[in-house]
Amino acid sequence: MSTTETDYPQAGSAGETLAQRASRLFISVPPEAVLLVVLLAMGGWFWNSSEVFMTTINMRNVLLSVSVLGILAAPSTLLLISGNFDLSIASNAAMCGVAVAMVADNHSTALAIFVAVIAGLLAGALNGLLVSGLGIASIIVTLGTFQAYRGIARLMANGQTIRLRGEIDFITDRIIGIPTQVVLFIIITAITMFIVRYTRFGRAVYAIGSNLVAARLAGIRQRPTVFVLFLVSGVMAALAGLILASQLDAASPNAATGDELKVVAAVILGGASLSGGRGTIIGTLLGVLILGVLQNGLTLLSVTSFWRDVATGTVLIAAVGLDRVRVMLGGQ
Amino acid sequence: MMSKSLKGLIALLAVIALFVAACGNDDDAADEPAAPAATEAPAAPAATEAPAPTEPPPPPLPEVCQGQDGTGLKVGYGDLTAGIPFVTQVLDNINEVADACNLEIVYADNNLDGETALENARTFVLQDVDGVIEFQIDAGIEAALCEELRSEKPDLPVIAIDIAHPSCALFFGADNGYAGELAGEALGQWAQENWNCEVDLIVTMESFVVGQVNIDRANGMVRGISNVCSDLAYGDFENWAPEVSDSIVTRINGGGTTDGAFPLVLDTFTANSSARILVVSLNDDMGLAALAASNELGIADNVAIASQGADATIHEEIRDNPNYIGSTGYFPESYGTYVVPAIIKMINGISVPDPLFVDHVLISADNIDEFYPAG
Repeated sequence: MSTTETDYPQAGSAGETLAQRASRLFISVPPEAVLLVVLLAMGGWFWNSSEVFMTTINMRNVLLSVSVLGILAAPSTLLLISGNFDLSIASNAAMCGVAVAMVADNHSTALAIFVAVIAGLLAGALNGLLVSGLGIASIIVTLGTFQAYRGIARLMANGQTIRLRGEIDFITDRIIGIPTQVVLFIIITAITMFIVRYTRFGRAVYAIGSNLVAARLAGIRQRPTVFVLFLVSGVMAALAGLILASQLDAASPNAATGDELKVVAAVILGGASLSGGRGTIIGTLLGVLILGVLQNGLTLLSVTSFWRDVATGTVLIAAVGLDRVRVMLGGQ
Repeated sequence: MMSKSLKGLIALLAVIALFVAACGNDDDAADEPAAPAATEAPAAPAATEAPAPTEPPPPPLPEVCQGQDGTGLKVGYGDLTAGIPFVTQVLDNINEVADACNLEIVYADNNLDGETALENARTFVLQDVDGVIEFQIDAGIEAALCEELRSEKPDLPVIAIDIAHPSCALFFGADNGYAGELAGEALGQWAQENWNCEVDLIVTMESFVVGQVNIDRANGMVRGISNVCSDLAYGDFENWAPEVSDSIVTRINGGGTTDGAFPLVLDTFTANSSARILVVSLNDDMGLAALAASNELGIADNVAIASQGADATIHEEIRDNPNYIGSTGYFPESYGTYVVPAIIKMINGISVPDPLFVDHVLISADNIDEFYPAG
């Protein structure tokens, strides 16, 4: 996401005012820097307002709270860069969570995890087939499966919350004191970042989202690429479902309700474009952290949920608006 | 010009309409009283004529019907929504009791939406139901809903579950304030016995969107604690607001779900990690979130929880976890035993007390096996 110096006015001209220099700096920094400033400013304010905020345990809480959102947001970023959505991802997570709890009730935990992952994979494959095979718009396909998967979860659980009998040890354990779900979140984010930046597959995803015709002419196979993205999305949904069930020791068919929109919010906040071709994993990571820190900080300050909703919406619009201003200034 | 496909579609619709009409005729025929079996049998010589066969007496109604036979009656049931444990148990029991009492139930899912409930009411009227059991969330549309339900039959009997519909319906459901007090008092007694009422924080896990039911339950639970531990700084909690000033009461809007409430209660506990905390929860799912958060932070010994609902998901904790004090039973699995006989009585012109309340009981480790035997 770096920009070349020739894109922007050169620094150091003698008659340049402070405002002009600030403006130049503002438009020359990558969008992630703006998000980082927003995150640090928020963190600083909460640190100043709550003595608990900057404690190890609270930082762990923030990461615990955002890890599911982050795991769902990583494949969603790739999908959005390619010009696609997966609105069914949270419903799929709930379905897989219910599957793991039901199977773990009577069978081994390993089998339960296997079944959940297969369920997530199949759900992702169905989305992928309908989008890349039949050419139906992903927003329509996943709007349908968003409802269908939630319905299947409710049918499976008969609308009930199911307590988790088997221990999903590898998720409830800690690795050098860090909850495994946080480690998984970090690993998945790192792998996705590597794929996006350093692989042909990552470049193909950008190419498909930027200009589909050009991508085809360049020999990029759009359909298999999009299909794989939906498969990955399905597996990540299964993992999120496993984490939710394990963390809460219970699986509800209503789990993660509304998380699909939080995922989209985090990805958009991270700088991805709804029309595809633009977005970064770093940006999404910062978007996820901004949403998580905001919720955590406001809860620590005992701010009511009504104001939390207002603040979250405002930060989303402000951050995206700020980036838009930066792009507009840069275009002048 | 009519396209070929449009013509085909019309033809298909015509065939379907004819088929449906034909099925309707069959049903009508089936509804006709059956001719006596004797007239269908070939005539037999008078000397050997057997005594005229009589229809076997109908099996006696089970006790749950309270002597009310719903044969030939049709009642609409507007279900709150699919997918919520409490609501599923209500639906299952209504169907079970209706079956036992020979009552036909016409089901419609209100989908947590007033507009959908109105549409369903129109469907009930179209289907000429004899009564309606309405379980819908939007108290604001109750007048419009009642008007719709009674548009064809001005005296149509209606029972409203949990949300009052004073324009037309008998109220059945929870006495939320009392149910809350039951759980709160039990928690207060536990705090008195174990902490000598030295409590630093009272967390109420709520769902603000539910409105009055949330307020009644949450305030009832805090009132219950205050009945036992009267010297704590409760503030003006009775005058409900999202934030209770000058009070140790902190309200958390957890949205009613375990995963929604978890991060909020985790953060609240973190900010008060050395405190002695009492948690009262609007439902069991959010009680589970408080439990998970206290375990996550390793402060389970400093947190005591009571909730509302006594769903199956929480039975194990009530049995085995000394810090999960109990949960007020609403017995959704028995709602049908109240409303099904009641609606048949109303249709038959028999008076039913209004309001009709569930008999709430606090389910604790001491009595859980009496209500929900283990195993």
